[in-house]
Amino acid sequence: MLFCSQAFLFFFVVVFLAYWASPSNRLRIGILLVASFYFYASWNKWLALVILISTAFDYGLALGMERSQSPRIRRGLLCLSLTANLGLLIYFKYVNFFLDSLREILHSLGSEVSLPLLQVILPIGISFYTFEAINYTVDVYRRRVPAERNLAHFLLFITFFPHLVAGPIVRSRDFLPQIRRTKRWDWSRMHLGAQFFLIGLFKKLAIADRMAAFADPVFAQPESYGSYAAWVATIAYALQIYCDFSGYSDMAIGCAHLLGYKLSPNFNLPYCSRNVSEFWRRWHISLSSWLRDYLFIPLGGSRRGRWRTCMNLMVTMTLGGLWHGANWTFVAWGALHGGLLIGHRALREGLKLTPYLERLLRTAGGTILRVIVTLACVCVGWVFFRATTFGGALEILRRLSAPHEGLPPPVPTDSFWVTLMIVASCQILAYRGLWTKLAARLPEPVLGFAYASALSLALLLASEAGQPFVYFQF
Amino acid sequence: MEAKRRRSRRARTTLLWGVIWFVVAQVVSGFVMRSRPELADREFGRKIADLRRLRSQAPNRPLVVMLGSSRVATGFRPASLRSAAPNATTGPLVYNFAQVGSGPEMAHLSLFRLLEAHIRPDWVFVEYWAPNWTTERSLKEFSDQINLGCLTWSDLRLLSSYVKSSRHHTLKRYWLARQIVPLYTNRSTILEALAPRWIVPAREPDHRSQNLDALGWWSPRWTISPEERGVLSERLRHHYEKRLRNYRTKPNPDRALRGILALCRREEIRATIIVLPEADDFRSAYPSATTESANAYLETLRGEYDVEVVDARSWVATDGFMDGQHLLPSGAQVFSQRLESEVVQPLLAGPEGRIRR
Repeated sequence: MLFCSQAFLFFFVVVFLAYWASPSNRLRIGILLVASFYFYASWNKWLALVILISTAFDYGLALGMERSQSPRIRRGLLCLSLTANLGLLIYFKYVNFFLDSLREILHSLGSEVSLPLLQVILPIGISFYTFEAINYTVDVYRRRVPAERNLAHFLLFITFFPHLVAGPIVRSRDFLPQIRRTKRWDWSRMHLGAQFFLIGLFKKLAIADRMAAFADPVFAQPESYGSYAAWVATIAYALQIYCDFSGYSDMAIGCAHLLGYKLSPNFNLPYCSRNVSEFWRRWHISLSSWLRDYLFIPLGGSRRGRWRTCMNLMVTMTLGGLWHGANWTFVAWGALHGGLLIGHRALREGLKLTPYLERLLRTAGGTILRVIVTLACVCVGWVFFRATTFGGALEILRRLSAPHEGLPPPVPTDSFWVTLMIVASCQILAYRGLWTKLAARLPEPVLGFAYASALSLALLLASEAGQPFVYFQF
Repeated sequence: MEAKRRRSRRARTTLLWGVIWFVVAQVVSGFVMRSRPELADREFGRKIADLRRLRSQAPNRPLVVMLGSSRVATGFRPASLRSAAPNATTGPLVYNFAQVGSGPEMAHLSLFRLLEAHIRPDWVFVEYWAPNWTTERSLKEFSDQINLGCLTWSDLRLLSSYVKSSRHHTLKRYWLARQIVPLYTNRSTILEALAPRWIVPAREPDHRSQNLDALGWWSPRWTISPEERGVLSERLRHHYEKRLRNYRTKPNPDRALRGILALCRREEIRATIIVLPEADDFRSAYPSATTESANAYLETLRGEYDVEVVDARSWVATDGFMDGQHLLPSGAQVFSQRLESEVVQPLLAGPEGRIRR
């Protein structure tokens, strides 16, 4: 059930009406739980059992951890939770990847051994809900949050349907207190929720799915296309992945607001970043902050010297890349970003020695240059992220770097250029905070007209072949 | 507190305005789709718009309409009839209202919709083609042929009678979605009219509305090499061979044809069943039992509904076909003129002497 499908809209309207019509908070939590399991079971009802069992397991372990005073028992319970969650993730998501890689290594060594290929269905959203469960048990272990005593509350924290399948990855300390709070109807919040949902829907239907038509055929057969098509496909994919994922996040945040919950923002104009480090503070914020808090810092962060910091960055980003999918291209993408972060740190230190150059880069022209260079680096990364093989990624990079003859873009590029201009203008306006100021000043009928126009335009421009969200596969 | 109340009021009013504007957008787009059927429904809409225009130019000319599939669409060329020039002000107005890919169910619906649109033919020719009577069409086929959103409630009820009962719910859901959010359900149509290069993924143009003349005749191609004709004929013959071997009239096509004949009788419209030309090699694919069954079936209908049956299967030589079943323009001319001289004129000269009203 995709957020932009008729089935979801119908489902959400029913949940919304039942939720706000119920008199007590307890009943509302019950409604949300039933709705969340129904939402998940609409993909696969047996995999809904997996999430139920793993959540109940973490709930019990966290209670045990809180009650125990023995550091050994507490550590043991944490290890059990980490093993269970990561084991689940590894089994469902990576087992065939590891077996396949092992087989290739053995074959390259001349071995004829045949390893089995397991028939495993990837439970949708597993990468997200296992990370949420991990951050909860780790926080309970660190005594940063108390263990949740109410199983229904804990289940809702993990399975709340707006964030269940593709985030944002919520923190227990942000979400659990909200469950306990009694919700009251608030028009301002409804407005905000509708606004988020509408923006997300527009990004998904009018931009992301449209851009897929420029990117997909080229990435599927890069050797057939020329340089112009490769450039269009790469930029189109950069737009697609941003609008697809941030659109999904906006819709999730909007749905949550409409039900009286607040989810943390997941994107903050990432393509306006002036360096890669800033990019990661603006892109998929819930994941990058999770990686920082639960991987980079426990590894030692940046407190153990230059080399150790570089290694920590590389490990964190490579594992972050692997988190996205069971393919070496994702690992390469993560490692590339790790390298870029290390390079940025080195550059920053180097610039301290050349104040003139640093001042130059802080001017308007210098800032624009930094944004363009960052964006170019990010786009090169997207080539590895999108390509299914290294060969395919290299074919695209070859066409990006030098003129190549070949097919033109698969679809007339009029809509590509117009969309690109619109997205760029909107990003600049948003960066300068003009949207908020403008929206606050517009009379209600005009603002309402703008919303209706955005929705109508999104519906009108929606692709004939609806596309699933890119991040659902992760 | 006052500021919060003001914010809340503003939020409520803005949302309300948003809903109002959105509803207005849907109503307007729904209205545009209904008032411009040629946009919303590329083949049926275009034909009904053309027919309306022709009728308004000479409202007193008797109307003769031909219903059927792509075989009729390509085979019957009203412009080649001596007695039915499009710009004439007297004599019958002859219009080819066939729809590509359709069968008797769609022909029934088309006649029903014509009557609803106050276009009342005086004489209807309806196609019979044995392979089309051996199969029942799916909802998908119907939704590919017409824009379900343009149907009225009574059209929908008629169409439902030709759709499996397990699919009634889906049909109604499709139809309802097209009524509630016409802007979304007609997005390709709207984009095609406003910005065709914005349609993604890029679509093949709808050939049904290309090369369609003012009297509804469709000519997808003008010539064909004998080799290509041979390949296409063989492919089609192979495709239909099994159906011809196991010929048995299915309930839905039979009910549809009877529905057309009953409707014509009720509305006092003259009805004629016509079997269109087929190339020699395709005719030879009919087992004799099939030919006998088909003839017996048509004989029964002739008796029950008192209609003429015209068998034109052998009227056109093989070089007049593009694939053994669909006529080339030259073949269409031969068939149309022979139909005029051997059927229309004698029938008009017969005891009833006129197109019945």
